[in-house]
Amino acid sequence: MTPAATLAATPAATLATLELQYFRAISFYRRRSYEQCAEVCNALLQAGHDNNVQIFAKHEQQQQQEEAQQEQQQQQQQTEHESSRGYKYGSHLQRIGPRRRRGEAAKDGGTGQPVASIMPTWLMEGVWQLKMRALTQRVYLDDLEVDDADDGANEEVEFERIATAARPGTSIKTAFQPRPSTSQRRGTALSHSSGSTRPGSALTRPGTAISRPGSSLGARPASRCGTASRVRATSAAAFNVGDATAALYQASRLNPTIYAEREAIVKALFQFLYYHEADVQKAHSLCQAVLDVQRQRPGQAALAPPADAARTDWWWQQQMGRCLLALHYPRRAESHLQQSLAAFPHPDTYLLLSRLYQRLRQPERSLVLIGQAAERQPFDVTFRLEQARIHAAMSQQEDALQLYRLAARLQPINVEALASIAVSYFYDNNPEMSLMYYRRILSLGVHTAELYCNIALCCLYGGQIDLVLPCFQRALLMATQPEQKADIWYNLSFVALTSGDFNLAKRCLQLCLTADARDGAALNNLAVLSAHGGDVMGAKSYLNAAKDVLPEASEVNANLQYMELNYKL
Amino acid sequence: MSLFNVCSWWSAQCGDTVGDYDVASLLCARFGLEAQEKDYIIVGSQSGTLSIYYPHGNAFEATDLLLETQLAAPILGLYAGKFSGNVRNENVNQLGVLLPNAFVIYNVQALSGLAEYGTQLKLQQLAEHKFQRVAFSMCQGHFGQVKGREFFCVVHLDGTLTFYEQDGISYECRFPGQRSLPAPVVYCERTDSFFRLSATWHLQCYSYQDLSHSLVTKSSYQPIWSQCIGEGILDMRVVQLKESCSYIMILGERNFICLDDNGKFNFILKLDYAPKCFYSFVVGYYWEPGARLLTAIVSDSAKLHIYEEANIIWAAQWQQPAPVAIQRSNVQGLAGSIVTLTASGQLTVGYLGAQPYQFQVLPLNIEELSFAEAHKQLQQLEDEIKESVDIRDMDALNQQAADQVRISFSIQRKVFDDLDTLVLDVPADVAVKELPSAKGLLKLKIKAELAELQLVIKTPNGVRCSQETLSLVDVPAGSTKELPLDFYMAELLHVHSTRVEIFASFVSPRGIPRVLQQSACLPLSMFYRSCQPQKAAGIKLTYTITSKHVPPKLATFFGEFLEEDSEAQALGLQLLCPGLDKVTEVITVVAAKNSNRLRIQSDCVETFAMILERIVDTTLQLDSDGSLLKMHKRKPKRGVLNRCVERIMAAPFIPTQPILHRADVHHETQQNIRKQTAQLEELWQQFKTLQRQLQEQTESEPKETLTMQIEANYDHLILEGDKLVEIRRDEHRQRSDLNCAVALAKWIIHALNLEERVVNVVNAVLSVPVEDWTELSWEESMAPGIDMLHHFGPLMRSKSTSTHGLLDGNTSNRDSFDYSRFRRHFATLFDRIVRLASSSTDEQAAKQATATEQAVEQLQPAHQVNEIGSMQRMLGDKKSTLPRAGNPNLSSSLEAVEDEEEYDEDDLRDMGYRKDYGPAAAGADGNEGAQKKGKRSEWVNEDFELPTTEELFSDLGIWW
Repeated sequence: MTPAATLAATPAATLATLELQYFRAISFYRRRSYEQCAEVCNALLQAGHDNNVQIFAKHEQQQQQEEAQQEQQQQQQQTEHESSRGYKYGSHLQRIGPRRRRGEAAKDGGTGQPVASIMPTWLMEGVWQLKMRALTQRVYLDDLEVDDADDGANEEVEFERIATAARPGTSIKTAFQPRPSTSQRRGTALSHSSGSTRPGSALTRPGTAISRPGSSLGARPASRCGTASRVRATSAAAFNVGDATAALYQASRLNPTIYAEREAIVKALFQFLYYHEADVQKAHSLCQAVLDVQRQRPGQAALAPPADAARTDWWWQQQMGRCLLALHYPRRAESHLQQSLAAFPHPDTYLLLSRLYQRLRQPERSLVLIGQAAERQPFDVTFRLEQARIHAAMSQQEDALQLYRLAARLQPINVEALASIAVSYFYDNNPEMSLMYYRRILSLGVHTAELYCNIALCCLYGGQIDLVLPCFQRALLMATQPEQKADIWYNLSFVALTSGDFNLAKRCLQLCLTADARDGAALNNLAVLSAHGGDVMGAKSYLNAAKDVLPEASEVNANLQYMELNYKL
Repeated sequence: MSLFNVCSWWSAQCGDTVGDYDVASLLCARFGLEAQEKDYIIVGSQSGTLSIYYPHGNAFEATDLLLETQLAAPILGLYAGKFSGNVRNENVNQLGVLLPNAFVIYNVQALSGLAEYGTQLKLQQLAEHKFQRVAFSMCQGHFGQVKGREFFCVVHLDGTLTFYEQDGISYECRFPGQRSLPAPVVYCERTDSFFRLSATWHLQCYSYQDLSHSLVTKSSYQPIWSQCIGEGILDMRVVQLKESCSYIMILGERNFICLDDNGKFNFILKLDYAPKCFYSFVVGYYWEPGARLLTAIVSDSAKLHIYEEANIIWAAQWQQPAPVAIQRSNVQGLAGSIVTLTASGQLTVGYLGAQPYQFQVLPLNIEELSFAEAHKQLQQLEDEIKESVDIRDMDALNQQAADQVRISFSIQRKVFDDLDTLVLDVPADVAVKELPSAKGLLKLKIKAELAELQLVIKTPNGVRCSQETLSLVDVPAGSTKELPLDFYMAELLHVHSTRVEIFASFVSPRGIPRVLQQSACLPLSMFYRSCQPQKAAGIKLTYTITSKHVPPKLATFFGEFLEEDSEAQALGLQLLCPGLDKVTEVITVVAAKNSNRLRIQSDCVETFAMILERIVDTTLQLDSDGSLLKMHKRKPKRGVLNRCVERIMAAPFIPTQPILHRADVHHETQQNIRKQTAQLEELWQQFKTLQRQLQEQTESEPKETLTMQIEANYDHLILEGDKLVEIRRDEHRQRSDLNCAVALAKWIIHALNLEERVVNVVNAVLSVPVEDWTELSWEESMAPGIDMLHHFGPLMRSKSTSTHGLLDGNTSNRDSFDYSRFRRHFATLFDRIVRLASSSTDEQAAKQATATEQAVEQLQPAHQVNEIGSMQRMLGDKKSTLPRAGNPNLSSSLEAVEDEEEYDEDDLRDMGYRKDYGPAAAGADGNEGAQKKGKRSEWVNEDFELPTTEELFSDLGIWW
């Protein structure tokens, strides 16, 4: 008996039934069944809408009487118009809080009129808010988990690319030496990464990006796990396709100043904007509006009911900092975050501030800060990991490794720590140890293409040749994203190089480019292979393409220089 | 520590598999029925099934189920406590069942079994408290520190609380502040207070006193304390760890939070997983030292994390979906067991064994590799490569691209007068002329799915199209699009070409870019109108049509003006645009009566470009249509003659002087613009200085003079600015004139009897339309190219004629652009081309020994009077010499003209080419080198590729 069916069957549902549905929705929410929760909410919202239940009307009576009246007239006209045409969910729904029939229904409090009594306002509001929370939670991705500290100008994908630049280098000088020894690769990776070796993406590469996604893997709702694109990258609006009540959640029409006064919903609304709609700008203006309201409040502090609301809220300061950081205003964000931290030491604030200092290229400062936080809460692995990441970003691999080991001791199932240790073993010419760690991760139930790819590489360099191809096969089978495929094919090209099959290596690299045409490392290596095969012009054009993609990469530049010197093109 | 399994000790599937189970659906409690009693497990589903289990051994047996009953309403929660005051026994608890509109209290009674069935339980209803509002949860406890029995309060969905104290006494109250989403409310016995999460995500503490009095006194009350949690919460529990303090354990949506009962944060632990439910308990007794606070948190991925305070001490994995409720209990035979309930009613009693969690990788289902299969896969991968990255076979790629997006673009031959000038925003001065317009149709048929398609329609200067760009995103396969286009004059300029080009660039969903190009010609009648032919004119050109497939009639070429069977020998065409009042620009085309020649004559350079384009293009088109052999498919070779000549040949004459005149005018305007800009800059500086003075001046000083200065300066600035705008407009016009002139030269050279490479190189240099940049005018950008042609390659001056070569050496100042030098080179270039063309024509004629009259004439083309009319070489080039017909070396190869000693050293150093050929080339073997390298650079210019530098160099005979 689906909730929708229930409501459809009994249009004149009694209040009790509706409330029971509401309970079910909350129960779904509590159990993290957000989809079902949203479904039940939809049914309720529709039912409420059929009965012209208005929401969020009471508080605005004084402030926006005129506006509301005007709108009300329009809406009434529209309603008549639409109902005559048989539309149920017309454009008057397109406001977050449709205000209609304000006067009568609100005063009666939902008891006077039989129609309105079907669903009281508080229920409608509750359902609306619950659905908003459910939608937010469904796509929620901790923005602190996502790696965006470096390189303010480059957004996500670009950042990943830059970081991967320092992959196993095949300089043209070593091109004719078919197997790049691991130590050499380590060398290139370290010396050229210049602060961009973030474990999440860079060094973990041969290694690939398993650590970060892995650490949260399995913990995220399955729907987002695979496609976990950045919070800010895409709006989750796509989820709403076919949802008739979606119009109730149109963030673009939201007026921050109106909602800033509504304490009860504004925090949820902020999260909805930030995480679900991915509209940081809007979220920021909402933040601003709320802080403005709070600033004005001290004047009437005596009247303000909640004692603590009078002083500015650490939560809003934190969110303000979060937005500003996301909008690439680290300097402005700093003061907000510091205020928030002074008011309340929330772990997120520490992490945000640490990101901020890293973006300002002051990693020492963020180390000090995170050190304080770690001292306060020595048990919290998050801070240890953050410390390790900062060290890694500062190219202090030893310190980073120590911290990762500490984190792994504190929380032995922490995938990021394990993966980072594995990577460092790998680059330390110790693929067997690295393999051990990767197998440990595998036994923790992480089951991804990247992991298999890493295991295969460890096997390759550890001499367990028989496992190499099966692992890659698995990785290929599991790879769904073009980037993953590109990585696997890129790494497979090393297998081919190791076995001396340059033709196969070329093919692999070409397949890598097929999946991702802007893979600079693949272009570079393809150039080297072409040069090796005698096609100097081809090599040059590949190198130029690589330079297009990775203008900073030292391998590419060195190769180009070498070409210029020795080939006279 | 590693990741272990949660071992299952006892498990059962609850009777109701359809109904939902929630956090409150599970209860582990004792009812005081017997002396050595262990925990009963009570489960109630949201569809109303109530079951009571009592595990006896480590596997489920039928006797473990002591009661199963169906209630009328959904069960929202299960509670156990001393709800009734009537029962005297200290240890006896009652079972409270929360239904949507009632709270029912049952007494649990045991019916000892007579046979194998074992014991059964019976429920005896003690009381039923009904209420109107639907309940959400319940909170129980010794409110007011009452001894002996527990009170309870029902939390309703709308946030109100109903308190039930002594039997029958109940009252409602509300928490102050705004209504929030329903969330659990907990009671802390130590401080006799309630905790709830407010709508603003603050944890608030209310004393029982305040709450219970609020109804009586109608007074408003405040929370005792309030702390911002900053997130929604999943569940909340109070545990007492010490005599002096209780802890509020909160499972937030992302953090695990612990506060003491005074509102002080104990810790906040950021969880790196999504929590689902939790259970906190104290091991030991709070009144004794050494009590440990343990918490078990279940993650969404079915992992159990056990914390002591905030330190993780154990992690284990369930083999089944994550439970929604977890309790710790002492069941018979297993103390400290973990009782869990999943959303579908799977009830498990488990323990933390040391059995490591082994992730079993699913076996890879690899079949025996068959060759056919493997080949297919390989082929598929190969195809992928080919499709996206392999660029060796450009023809195939282009073919494929053309298949993916089929473009058909046509322009109607007819012209129209009904152009809506208002809609298309034609400037008034053009609209007044009522020029004809043309209509075209663009059809797109997209066969493959595309991520993006962009269409650019490029028209010659002066002509505008009703839609210039079109971009489509996410185009599905199989879609078609038709675009009717209008072409019309938008500016009164000389148009240099009738060709409209369409570029379609698209990106497939996999990110592979492709570009397609198509072109069509506008009808000539859009630009000309027929008029009386002129007898004589300043510039006369002759084309000989050598193709057998092209009837040398005027009607062949000018279908817009002549009937198909018209035998007209002469056609006069007057340029419609720009349609100056004073001058009528007329061009006359005359077809010879008894030979296959065309003569084109006009006084005005601008008239030619489009006519020549038409003649050459039509000839080539008709010829390639007519002959089976596709000319352009043949691989070009070194030293081959211009293949165009086999179909149409131009008489070797270029109206150098008028062309140069256009360049002169253009250059002069450029100079003027620079001068004007400099002047503006000066005025602007003055302006700034004056403004600054105004700023700096103190209040007391008189301002009149300064104001006057400023005003004068400002007026001047505006005036000069207007002038600049005017000059720019002039420049625009002159640029299009220059366009026409260059195009004219280009079309002549295109059909000259020269080596094909030469034609290609020169045409590549003379590209139209000409461009001016702010930093670099056309002349400046052309100069290196012309210089190159001047110094190297087949067009280099030969020893015998290098009289003016010496003059070139005086370019000492390399920064400034020497226009006169450029002009001279330009003129010489044309001169040489003409000379070369006429001599090779001559040579060819001599070789073939076809003693036609043409050959005779062309021996001295400069002085001869040909059949059509006197072809006076125009003007200026006094230094042009007689063709050296006798020189056999001049035929077509560069060896003939190359003489390294002749190089003007200064010149070379100036141009910076020296070092390029320096090290490799040592004099004598230069030719060899050139030939060797020449292999690599075949001319493949059909694809409109620009020659790369080294191709250019090698072809021009630079050794490297």
